[in-house]
Formats: sequence, structure tokens, C-alpha cells
Amino acid sequence: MNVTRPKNLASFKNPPLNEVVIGIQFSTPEGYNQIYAKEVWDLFKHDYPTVEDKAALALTFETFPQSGHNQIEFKSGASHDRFWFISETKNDLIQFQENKFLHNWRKGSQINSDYPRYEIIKEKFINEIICLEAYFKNTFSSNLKINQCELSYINHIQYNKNIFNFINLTDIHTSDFYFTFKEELSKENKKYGRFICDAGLSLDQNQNEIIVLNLTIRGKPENDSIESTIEFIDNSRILIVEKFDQLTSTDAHKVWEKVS
Amino acid sequence: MGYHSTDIFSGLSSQRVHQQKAIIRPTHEFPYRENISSRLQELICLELGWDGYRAKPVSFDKATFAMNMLEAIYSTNIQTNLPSIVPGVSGDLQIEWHYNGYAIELYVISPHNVCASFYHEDNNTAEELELTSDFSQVITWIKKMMQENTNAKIASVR
Repeated sequence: MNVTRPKNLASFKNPPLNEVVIGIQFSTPEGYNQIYAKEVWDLFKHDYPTVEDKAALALTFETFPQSGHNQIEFKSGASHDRFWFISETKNDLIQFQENKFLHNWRKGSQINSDYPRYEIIKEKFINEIICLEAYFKNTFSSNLKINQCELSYINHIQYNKNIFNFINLTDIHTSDFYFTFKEELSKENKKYGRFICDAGLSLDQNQNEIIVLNLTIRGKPENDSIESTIEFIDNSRILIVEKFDQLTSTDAHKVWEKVS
Repeated sequence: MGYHSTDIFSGLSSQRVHQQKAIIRPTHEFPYRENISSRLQELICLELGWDGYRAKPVSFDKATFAMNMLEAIYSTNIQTNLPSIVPGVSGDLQIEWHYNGYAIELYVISPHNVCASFYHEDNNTAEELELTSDFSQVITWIKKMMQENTNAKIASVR
């Protein structure tokens, strides 16, 4: 597995990253139901000994020319939960439901919870979905049929009016703000996904004012295989780092110790 | 004010922040939204063997994808009639507009795997495409279908 960082990609010694999420959405294998979630947890239990249940996330598909995100939730009898499988350090988390699998890295309050870098998180995620696919093959005679991939970088930035390159907050007397913008992504003139930038003011757990800057790429991989997923998230990672570099100011880069 | 996870953004995050204000994403209301979602809901709830043989209900992911696809089309403010939505026997579905001699059919085989066709009963217009995420061509077809009607009305007034 290629785990080298591309040359010339901006790098920060002290990035404001709080969370990275790599995920896939897939078609539920025929014959699967919630009773099998325990067997899925068994695959990962050694590294993720704690389990919590949450409400399922809605299915999302990036479609064009407009995005279709009315988030209508259809019901077909019993609904499947989303399970959190949590690592001992609590820094790593798997989110699993019948049609989604996500790996979150989360910055914790412990001293040794520095960002381990994308390559490490990706390697864990890929090993996990390979393991999930092997389980689906053995139990349901079905590959993972991946229909959407997603990569999110969620930054918690100490509030400063000079963070962004494209807006100067010093000229705006505001106690709150929120913005979002999207960009369509194409390959060989074929639209496949969107870059989504969300930012807003929040308070962290210590009641300090922060800007939550969430950069996400979501879309359809070339085909439904794990190989296509790897290609999709590798390309998304490069694009997200480039966008982060472009959207944020040189002054902010100094704080985050940009090295290239 | 209560603590909640950062689901205000992508919904994938697990970390907690303290939001000062609730943030509401703008959503597009599109024509026939209620009719389409109720019809899809009906098709998801079909009994196994609804055709008297072994037909499956429409699958959850195909229905959700179809909803997204129709929203992508209708959110462009295109003017057209409500489509028929018919189930297939394999949990698939077909969306159809029939108007003014034209037919547009979108056969949703699986998410991002749509066989689209456009034809006219009287002339030689016939196109077939395999579509994945971008449904701009369907909008072009709908405009053509509706335009024929407008032209016919103008001609009858003259």
C-alpha cells in the first residue's frame, strides 16, 4: 500500500485539525439485517472495545446539476442503528450502519493525541474495509458495492478575524457567522462529486470562541471497488490540503507552522 | 443551550462543540416533492411477491437515489408534469414522463446506474444514454418535450 506523502503538498507542523473522517456508503448486502452488527463488531473488537449506538445517518448521493439533499428518510419497517466502535484511547472511532462505514480520527485531550497524518489514518481505514468486505463475501456472498466516498477535515481554529484569505472579518461587526459553499468536481468532463466548505463560529468545551472549518469532498468513485475508493480518497486528500492552503491566510499559516 | 455533536456540518463528525445558534441549511423545495416521496415510500413497503410471483420491494438505496436524482432535476425550476414511478421486479424502478407524444424514461438499476431514454411516438427521435450522477441531459429532453407543447399552442392561437 502506498503511504508516501505527495511532494509539494503543503504541510503544517501544528495544523488546527480536530478530526478527520474517511467514509464509504454502500448497498446493503442482500440478507443482511441488524442481528449481524454484532459479528461486524467482532471483526474490530480487539482494537475498538467500546460500543455505543446512535441514530443512523441518512443516505446521501451527490447528483447534478443541482445537489439533492432534502434528506428524506424512507422507512421500511425496522430501522438499523449506527454503531460507534471506539478505540481504547478514544482517538479512533468506527461508525458502522447497514449502508455506511466511516473511520474517524479525533484529537483528544491527552498529550499524545497529535494528528497522526493522513497516511496512517487511511491505512487503518483501508484495512478495515478490506476486513468488512471479506466478512460480506463469506456471509452474504457479496462484495462491498461502494456508491459514495467521503473525506472530511474538520478544523477547530482559535477565533481570529484574519483567518481567511477571501473575507476580512475585521470589517464586519458580528457576534456570529456561518457560511457554506460548494464546488463541482469533474474528471474528463464528467461530474463525480463536490467540494464542500462549511465554516461557523462555535465554542469549544472550555468555552473559547473557535471557528469550525469543515472541508469535505463527497462523490462517486470510478467504480464500486475498494481500489477506486483508495484512488478517490487519495485525490480528495490532495485537493482538501490545497484548498485549505488557498482559503486560509499567510498569518494563519505562520501560527500553524507551515513548512512547505 | 445544550451540547450536541457537530452534526450541523456533514453529520459524520463525532466531536462536540457548543453552538451558539442553531444553523439551518437552506433546502430547495421542489415541485411534487410530497407526491414523489409518498410514491417512493409506497414502493419500498411493497410485499415480497407483490406481482404474484417473486418480485421484490423497491430497495431503500435505489429509492433514495431516485429522490436525489429527481431533486437534482426539479431544483433547476424546470416546468413539467408529475412523473409516473413504477416498480421493477428486482427491487429496481422506472421513472417516466409521457407528454405530447414524447416519452422520457429513467430506469434506475442501482444508485448511479441509470439507463435513460427519450423518444417520440410519431417521428424518429430516439436517444439512449447511461447516466451516473449528472442528469443535465434529462433537463434538455424535458425542455424539448415541453417546448413542443408551447409551440403547438402558439400555432393554434395564430
